[in-house]
Amino acid sequence: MDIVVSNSDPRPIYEQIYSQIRSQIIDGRLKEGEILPSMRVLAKDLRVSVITTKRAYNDLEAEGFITTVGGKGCYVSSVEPSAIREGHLVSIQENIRKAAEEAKQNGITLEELHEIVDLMYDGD
Amino acid sequence: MGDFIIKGLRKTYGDFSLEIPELVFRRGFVTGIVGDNGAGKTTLMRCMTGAIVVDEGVIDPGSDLPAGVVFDECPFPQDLKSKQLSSIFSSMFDGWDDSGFQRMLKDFGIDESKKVKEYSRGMRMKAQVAVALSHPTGILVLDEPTAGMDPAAREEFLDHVRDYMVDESHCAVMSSHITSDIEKIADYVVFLKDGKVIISGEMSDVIGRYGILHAEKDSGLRGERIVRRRLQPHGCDYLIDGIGEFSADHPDMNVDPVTLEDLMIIISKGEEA
Amino acid sequence: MLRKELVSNKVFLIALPVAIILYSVILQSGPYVPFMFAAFMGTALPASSVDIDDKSGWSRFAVSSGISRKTIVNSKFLISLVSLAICQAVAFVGAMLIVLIWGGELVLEDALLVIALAVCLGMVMSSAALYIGYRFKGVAFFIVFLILGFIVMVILFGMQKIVGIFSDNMLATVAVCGGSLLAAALLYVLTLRTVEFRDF
Repeated sequence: MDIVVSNSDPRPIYEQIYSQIRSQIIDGRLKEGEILPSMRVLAKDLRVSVITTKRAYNDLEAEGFITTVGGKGCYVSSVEPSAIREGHLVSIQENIRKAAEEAKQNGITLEELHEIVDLMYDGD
Repeated sequence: MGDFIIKGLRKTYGDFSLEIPELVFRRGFVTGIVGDNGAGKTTLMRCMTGAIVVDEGVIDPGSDLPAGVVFDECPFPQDLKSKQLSSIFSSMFDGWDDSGFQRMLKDFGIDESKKVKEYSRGMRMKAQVAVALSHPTGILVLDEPTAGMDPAAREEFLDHVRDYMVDESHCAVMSSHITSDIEKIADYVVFLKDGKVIISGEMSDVIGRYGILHAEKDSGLRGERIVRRRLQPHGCDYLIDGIGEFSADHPDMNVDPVTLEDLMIIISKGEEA
Repeated sequence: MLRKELVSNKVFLIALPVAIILYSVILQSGPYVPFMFAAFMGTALPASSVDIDDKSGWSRFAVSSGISRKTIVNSKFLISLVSLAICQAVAFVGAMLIVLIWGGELVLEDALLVIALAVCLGMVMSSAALYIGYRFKGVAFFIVFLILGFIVMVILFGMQKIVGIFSDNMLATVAVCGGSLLAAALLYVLTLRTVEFRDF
């Protein structure tokens, strides 16, 4: 499992860990049933606080991405295709919510927002 | 097995008094202790291990196992070589792991023909770490362990602490002037000044919560969130408690996020605002 | 912990016997002198060890690492006895050398008497040295050693007379020995108590 955390990333470390593991599970790099390092070993390897990895793992478990067994090991849960899609929709909705907020606060209209979405979708 | 709990601690030396009504070091986590010379860090750690007898207070180590200690000055008899050290420690400590100890010394590059007095500064600290990690302990107590080490050696040292902490029944408390080391390793942080705890909490909370406002000299700012100030040659720094809320209330003011070092300096050199 | 005392005091345990032999042979004051001298010299080890351990931080390390204070005191008293025993054994060799080199006689009864007195004296001195060392940090070593040295030197000059007095007076011998052992035991207990409340 490859995880890269960066201090220059504005997001808190636990969020970086959480989202990287999550996307690796969703796109299949981390397979169902695969065993993840314990939160303590991960903290040691990444050289971050245990509190950080604990929080990331808690969030992942709360959303059903991973399961812990007996407090010692944890593994990737089986994620159904529909759940994967659902996961993406939730994530996209959150991103758009943030964009919409920012647009409203700064006087950018809904039409302008649509334009940007079209551009982004077709652009790459 | 529980947390390491200190209650009602008081130890007085002449005109210095260490007074801590309550302090908890959580088991399974590393707590960093920060403060300048004379703040009471070393005194606190000596009280914790029982080297100093407290005037008042209860110290509950939360574990029956002894402490592994690393001091600023290496306490081992200077004329001894590693085999002799082995024989001393194996008779002193229950569950002494000699092969592990010898292996660690070898990994640290400590030659078995060298006497303790011939060890470099880094080797002396590593030797202490090797001892502390070679028998069952409940807590690792580290008093300025990385002073005088180069950055690579310090990182190696911290890696050993991280290794120790993989076991969730372990607890570690480390004091240091090198705030960057504390930032790297500690889950919780405690600030001491003049024998009292000024700030205590989760590392990310403490760092995330405070901010530094660089203002003009005569700005004379006051407010609920302005907790300390420090006069500078061309201005005045203010310590803000609650950077988010303050920035929301004062969008015109530029508040910088704080590092542990900033906090330490403004606490020790500044004054209450 | 005794292992530590033995290992770290190796130098002493070798140097003292050498000193005893040399001094005894050189002084040529009779075959009983070595025993008294040895009792005095044997005290050097405990007297200095408390201070050395304090200064190096070893005793703080031991206490911090969970070694009980009682164990620490016991190991010091034990090493004092070991030191005393070794020194007395060496003194015996020294006494034989004196007889060989300078003639004179080593009467067994008198020798045993002197050894008994020397051992008792040694035990009191060691216990006092340890108590003072723990009670009054640092300074103790030199002062204790000087004072004891002075007293013992005075005794040594009157060695033959002393042997004469005690060999005829069983009661005096028992009284002195018994009293010394009691004093040593008392000092041991006081040391234990002092160390319980001492900051390392």
